[in-house]
Amino acid sequence: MSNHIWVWVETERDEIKKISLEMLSKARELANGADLSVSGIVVDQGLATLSETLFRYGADRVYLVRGGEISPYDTDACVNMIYTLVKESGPGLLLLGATSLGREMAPRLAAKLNAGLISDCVAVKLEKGQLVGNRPIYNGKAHAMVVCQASSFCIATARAGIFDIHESRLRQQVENISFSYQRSEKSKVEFLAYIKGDPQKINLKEAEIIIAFGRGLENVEHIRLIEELADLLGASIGGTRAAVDMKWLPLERQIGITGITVSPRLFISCGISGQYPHAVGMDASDNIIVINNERDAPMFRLASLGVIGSLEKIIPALSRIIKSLKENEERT
Amino acid sequence: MSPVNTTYFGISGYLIFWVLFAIALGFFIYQMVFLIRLLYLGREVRRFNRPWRRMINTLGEVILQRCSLRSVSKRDLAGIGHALMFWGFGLFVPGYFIFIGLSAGFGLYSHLDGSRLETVYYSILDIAGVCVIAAIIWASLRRYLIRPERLKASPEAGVILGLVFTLMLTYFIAEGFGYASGDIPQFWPPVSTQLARAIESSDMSQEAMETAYRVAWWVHYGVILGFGVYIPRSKHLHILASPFNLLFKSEAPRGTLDMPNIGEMEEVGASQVSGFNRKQLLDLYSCTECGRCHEICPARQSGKQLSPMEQVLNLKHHLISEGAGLLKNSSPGRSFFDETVSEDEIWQCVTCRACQEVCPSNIEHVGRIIDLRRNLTLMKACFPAKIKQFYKNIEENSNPWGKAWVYRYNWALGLNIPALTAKSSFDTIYWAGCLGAYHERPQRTAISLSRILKAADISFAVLGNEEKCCGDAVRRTGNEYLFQQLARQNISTFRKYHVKKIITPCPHCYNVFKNEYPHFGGQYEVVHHTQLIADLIRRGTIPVPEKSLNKSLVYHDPCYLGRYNDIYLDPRQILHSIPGLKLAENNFRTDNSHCCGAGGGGMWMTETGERRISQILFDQVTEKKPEILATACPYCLTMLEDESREKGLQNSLAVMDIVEILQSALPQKTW
Repeated sequence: MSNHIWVWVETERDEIKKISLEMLSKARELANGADLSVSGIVVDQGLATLSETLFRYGADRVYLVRGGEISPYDTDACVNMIYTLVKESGPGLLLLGATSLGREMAPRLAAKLNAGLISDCVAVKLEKGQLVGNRPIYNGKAHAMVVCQASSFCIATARAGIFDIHESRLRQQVENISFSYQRSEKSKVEFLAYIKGDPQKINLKEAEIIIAFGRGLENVEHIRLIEELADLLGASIGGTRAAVDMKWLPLERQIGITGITVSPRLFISCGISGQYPHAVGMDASDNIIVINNERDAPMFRLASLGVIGSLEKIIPALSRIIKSLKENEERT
Repeated sequence: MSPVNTTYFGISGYLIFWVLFAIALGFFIYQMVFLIRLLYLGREVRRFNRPWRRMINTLGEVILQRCSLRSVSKRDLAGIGHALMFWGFGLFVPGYFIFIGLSAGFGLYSHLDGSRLETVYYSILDIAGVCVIAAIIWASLRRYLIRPERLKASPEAGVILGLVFTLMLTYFIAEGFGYASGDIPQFWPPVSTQLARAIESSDMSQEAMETAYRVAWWVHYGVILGFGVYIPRSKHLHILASPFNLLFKSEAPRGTLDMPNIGEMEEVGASQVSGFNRKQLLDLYSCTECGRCHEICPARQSGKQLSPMEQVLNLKHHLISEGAGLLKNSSPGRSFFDETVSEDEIWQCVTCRACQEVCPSNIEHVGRIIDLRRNLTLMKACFPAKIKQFYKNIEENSNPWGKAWVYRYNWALGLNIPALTAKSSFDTIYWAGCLGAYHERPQRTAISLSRILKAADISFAVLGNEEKCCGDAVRRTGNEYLFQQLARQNISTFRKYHVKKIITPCPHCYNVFKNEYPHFGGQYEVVHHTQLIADLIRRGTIPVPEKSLNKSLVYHDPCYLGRYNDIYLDPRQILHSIPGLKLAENNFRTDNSHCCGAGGGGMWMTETGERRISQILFDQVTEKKPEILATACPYCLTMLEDESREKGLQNSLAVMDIVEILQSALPQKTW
């Protein structure tokens, strides 16, 4: 069906987003099996080794878009630009990360190009030249295999952290194509500034790392220890109903059946016994570290790693280790 | 001599008598017709079955004053005062027909004056009058000096006390001067004759005495007529309304809510007057503003907005102020949710039924609040965010936790409890419920119980993953649609396996199966685990508890077991059978038990207000510092245990279900 696999590459400040490298690696894998070429599309914001990095992770060709006024947050412009590119180069397959921008662009593009769209995939493959995507449905209780049959152009978005990142052997022929795009109408979006979210303030549901505490914190002073660790890890802080009842945390930080349900990649549970009403709000987290001084706290049943001991000792120790690791990293 | 049989400023006394009477009667009828027409704005409700029984019950409640005497306790004696005033004043009523209507109004006094009937009747009235005056003084002291929390500071009560006092006073004055101006009987009526003698011994002229008699008589008559005009617009409307409210009492089991035919209704629940049924509107007229419900409501006690009494009064005001427009069809009527009731207060109810239990006028608070919730939920999709998640969890996975339905049976794995299959045959199923099946803590109760059942050789099975939420909290948060769906699904599963008997550890499931599923064609023998075990103990079919526990214990009565289903004795019998347990009872037991805050959907909502309802309960049940806190409901169990942990008492106070206590006292070899 296609001869190109396009990958939309997102950058965030001075870095290529990890998810874009994941998409690129996956695209390379698909391309190798079907003898296709992989192209990365990226808005050039003056990143020095941008193309080199993309070549290293599997791109044959990099479209560096220089529009001057296009910001990667201006999805309208990005959609029109990709549309123009694709229209010039014929049928193919486009992969985007299912990030908030990717989710915004994919359906618009699909509508514009009259293309098939498989969104939010956890696996994609090419079968008999057709794109097959596996997407979880009903809160992950079932999986739908979706085949993109009719259209000549297919779009898929995939979740972060699913595909591995591989550096691939550098191809002999790589091509850097500068592409200048002039937008026709005035942008509806104006990029003002980049403000980094404070992990302690962002919506807990979006947090990648959560440190939660409960009644076992014992002393309100210990919140300081938790905050220090959270700062080091870039983690958000949440807690149990008990922590909220004691006014240690605001209501919107309550995790559990009468609070919110979270599933971060790492959940550090401090001094939480793990009553069922709390556990149902976090048991789908990817990795759970439990710190509690009561050996038979039910929370340990959910733990990927359990530490029996007092928070007072363990958390500062953990902070120290992370701090020194970070310092080492910076030195090298 | 009659004060009517004379002329005043040239006008015949008879004319004045009857004109005043006609004016008062006119006002009274006009107002009553208005109020009765308002009732007919409500939906029809059939409460006319077994009329004789209803009437006898009502007479018992009213004439014998069971309605007010029931609430008399050491702490609150006000019911006695009400009864005294009711009986005392009640004795005057026939006299108004005979001695004012027939004797004065129709000039038949010559037949009655000095008759034996008069002597006997007035002797009774003398004593009654003294009782009523005593009761009025007591009531006034209580209301204006002692000021119990439950009483609203309203001027109405003062008006009524003043009127009744004036009636009594003018009665004695009229009688005293009346007798003094004529022949004074020897002894009977005892009070009036003494007064007459005192008056006679003063140097008042005959004429002055006669004038005083006439003035007192007319004032008395005027006050009675004024009373009739005043009643329909005051809280004393309850004098007329509450006997009927008792007459039309629901005869369905207490745990039953009325079942709207949601498929055919244009509007489900109540958002305006026409959404309530006629009995619910009559409820509004029947409120005496006694404040018993206000005092006992756990939501109100914990600093929330809801007060059942205030809600009734606000709705009554709404009905009367909107009524004229509604009757003329000139306005569609405001919604209750505009200003009359707040959404917050509607969601704060835990359906514990304490308000209804203490109401002397049979006001059906719980059904009313649920009708308001039904409207918010089903017509406006307006419910707390957590309830949305709760419904979604049940819709998707048939349990409120949102955990996969395929895990429901997991608790029973390894316990050798069979799940029903098409081939197995068990009459009896054990229904763990959503708490017993998923939450580790009540799961321990379920496991204890299943062991005891095995020890007693009771053969039973579970529905396994085919069990779905019974629908209790779904219904009580107003989602009648989802409830009916769950009920039908569960009943069809029961039918498929020929289930005849259901044993459950959850009073909420128990109540729904026993009292609500029959409406959908599901009739089973439903047994709560405490009933079953008490029965096994009585029949001696389970091993005798032999370990002496030697602990002090307080048992907390769960609302849906106690107040809703009258199961008070069975749990206590089980506890008494365990050696060494010292059962301490406190004031907050049986039908006076306080809610844990989890009922009526409370478990699944975020609680607001100054305190948690469970904190209040915990303080009450630990008043006597027990070593074990026993209960028989998974909701109460988890709420009380949370409080115990909150207070750091988890090592000194064991919060346990009764079966867990029993199991710990049984010999280990039993299972």
